[in-house]
Amino acid sequence: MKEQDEIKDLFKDSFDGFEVTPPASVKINIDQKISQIQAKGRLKWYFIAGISVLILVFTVFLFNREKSDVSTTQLATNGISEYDDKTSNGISEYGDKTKASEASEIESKLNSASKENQTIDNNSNDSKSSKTALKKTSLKTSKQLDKTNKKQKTGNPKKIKNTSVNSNVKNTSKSNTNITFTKKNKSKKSRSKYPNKKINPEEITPVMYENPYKLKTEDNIDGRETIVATLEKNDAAQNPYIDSNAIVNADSLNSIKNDSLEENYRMADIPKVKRPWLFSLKTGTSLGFNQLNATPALALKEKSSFFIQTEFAYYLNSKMALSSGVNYQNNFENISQDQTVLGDSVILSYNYTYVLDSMQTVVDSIAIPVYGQDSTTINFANSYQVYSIGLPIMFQYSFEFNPKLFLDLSAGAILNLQGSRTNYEYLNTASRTVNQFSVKACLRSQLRYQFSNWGVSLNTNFGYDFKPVQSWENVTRKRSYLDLGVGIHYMIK
Amino acid sequence: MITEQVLVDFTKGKKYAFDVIYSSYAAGMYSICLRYTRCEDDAQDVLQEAFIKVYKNQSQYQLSSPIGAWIKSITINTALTYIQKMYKYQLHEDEKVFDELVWEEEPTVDVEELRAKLMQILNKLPEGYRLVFNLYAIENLSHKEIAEYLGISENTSKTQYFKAKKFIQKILESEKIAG
Repeated sequence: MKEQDEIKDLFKDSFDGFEVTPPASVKINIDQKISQIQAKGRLKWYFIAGISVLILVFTVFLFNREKSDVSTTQLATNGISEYDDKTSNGISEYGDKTKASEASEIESKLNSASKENQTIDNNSNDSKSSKTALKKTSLKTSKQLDKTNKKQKTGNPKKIKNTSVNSNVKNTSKSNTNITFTKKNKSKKSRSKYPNKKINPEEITPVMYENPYKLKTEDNIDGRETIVATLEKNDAAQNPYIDSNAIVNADSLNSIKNDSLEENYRMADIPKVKRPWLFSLKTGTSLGFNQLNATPALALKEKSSFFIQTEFAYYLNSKMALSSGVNYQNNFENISQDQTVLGDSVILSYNYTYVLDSMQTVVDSIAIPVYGQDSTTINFANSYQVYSIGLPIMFQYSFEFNPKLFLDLSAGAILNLQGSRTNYEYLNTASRTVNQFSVKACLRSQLRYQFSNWGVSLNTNFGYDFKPVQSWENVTRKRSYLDLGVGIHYMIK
Repeated sequence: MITEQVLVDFTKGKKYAFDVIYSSYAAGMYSICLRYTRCEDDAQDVLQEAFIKVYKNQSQYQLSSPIGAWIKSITINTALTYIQKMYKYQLHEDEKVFDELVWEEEPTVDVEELRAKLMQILNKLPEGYRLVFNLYAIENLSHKEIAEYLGISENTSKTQYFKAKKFIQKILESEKIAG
C-alpha cells in the first residue's frame, strides 16, 4: 500500500504545477473559431434585422393594399371649416353637420339640381385603371346651406385611384359641390374599418358636404392624378373659415379622424392615397478597383463579376422612396507576387587561355570557368472566388423628365455576408479563407423608362467596400467598385 | 494577470478577457491534455476545443467560483469526450496487456526527464487505465466521482486504477524509478 501511495505521489508531485506552453497555432485556430462564432452571432442579428425590415415593409405593403381595398370610398372636399396650417394642408375639423331626418329633403333638392351636374372624367396617361370620375352637383347657395346646417350627401359611386388633391383658387361659384368617389371594381372583401357604419355598395349612405371648390384633375407623376380644387375669393370672403389660398391634398384628407364625426355624417372611408411600390430585378457586371499597400508589391487583379438583385421600393411620396431587397454577387480575384529565388553557384561561361609554342601555334588550351549565382523569378499567385449575399437598404429620390422617364438617385448601404474560396494556393503570403460580414456604402443612379406598370432601366452603382473579404497580413487593401447593369421594373399601384 | 475586472469582462464576452485567461491557463491545460491523449496533435485539438467551449460558455461562469477549476473541468470533460469519440477505448479487464508491453529501460536523471518518462508511461497505458489513473491519482477525484464521470461502476473504477497502478509499478520496478 505504501508502494502504491508512492506511485500516486510520484505522479502527483511530478505533474503538480506541470505546464507546457502550447504552440501558437492553437491560439490562432481558437481565434479563428471564435471569429466564426462571432460572425454567426452577428449573422443572427443581421438576419433578425433583415427579416424585421422585410416584415415591416411587407406589412406596410399589405396595409396599403388593404386600405385601398374598401369597396366604397366617399370623398367630400368641402365641409372643411378650419385649416390648421396652409403649408401642412391640414384639415382639422368637419364643421358642417347634417341631420339624418333632413336627408330626404336634401336628396330631392339634389335631384332638382342634378341638371347642373357636371362630370369630370379623366383617364390617367399611364394606367387605364386610374380613371377618375368626379361628379359635381350644384345644390344650393351657401346661404341656403347655412340655413340647412350645411347638409351633406354623396353622389353616384365612381372609381378613383391614386388620387391626391391640391389647391388652388381660380373659379367661383356660389353653389356647393358634392363629390363622391367609389371604386368601379367592387371587391368581394368590401368592408369598412368603422363597424358602426356598415357600407352596402348598393346603398350608399348620403353624406353631403358643402363644397365651394371647383375641381379639376391633372396628371401627376407615376400615373397619379391630382385633383385641383379652386375657390373664388368671394366664397372665401363669405366664409371666414375658408382660406382661398389653402392647399387641400389627399394626404391631409387621410388625416381626418372619422371617429370625430357624428355617426350619421361619417364617411364610409376616407380616400387613401395609394402609394405605389416599385419591384425591380436587376443584373449586370461589377468592376472592382483595389489599392494595395504592401511590401514587396502584390498585384491584385479582380475579374469583372456578376450580380443580381431584387428590390422593392416603397414610395413615401411621389419622389422619395425607401427600398430594400436581396443582392447576390460573385467574382474572382487573383493575387500574385514575383519573388526572386537565388540558386546554387553555376558555371555561367568559360574563359579559355591558349598555350602557344614558338611558332604561335596553339598546342593547348585551358578553360577557366566563370561562376555566377543562378536565380529564378517565380510568380506566386492565389485565386479566390468571392461571393456575397447582401441586404441593400437605400433611400431613393426620383426626378421626372416626363411622365414616363425618370432618373432615380439612391444612396444607402448594403449589409453583406461575404465568403471566399481559395481555388489554388501558391502564394507564400498568409491568406485567410473566411466568411464574414461587411458593409458597403453605395450610390446609385438609375435611368428608368416606365411603359405603363412595366419599366426598364439602366443602372450604375458606385460603392466602397469597408471590409473586403480577402485580406492579408500587413497589407492594407482599399476596394471600391462600379456596377453596370440593366433592370426591369413593375409598378404595383 | 487575471483581475476581477477581467473576469467580469469575460462573462460579458469581451475578447481581451478571454485572451488574458487563455494566456494564463493554456499551458496548464495543455499539460492536462497531454496526459489524457496519445500525442501532441490530439492534445492540441483537445485544448483548442476546450477553450472554444470556455468561450462559448463564458456566460455560465460563476464569478464566485475559481475560474481555474472551471476551465480545468471543461478541459478534462473535453478530453474525455475526445478520447471516447476518437479512441473508442474500452476499459481493459484482460491482464495480457501487461505481458505485451515492453519497456525500454533507460536511466532517469532529473525532474524534467522523470516527468517525460512518466508521461511516456502514461501514454503506454491502455485508454481506460490512463483515464482512471489520471482522474484518481493526479486530479484527486474519488472513485465515485470517476464512476459518474465515465459512466461506470465504482468497482470498475477501482479495478481499473488497481490494474493501472500494477502496470506502472511493473515498469517502474524495471526502471527502478520508484525505488
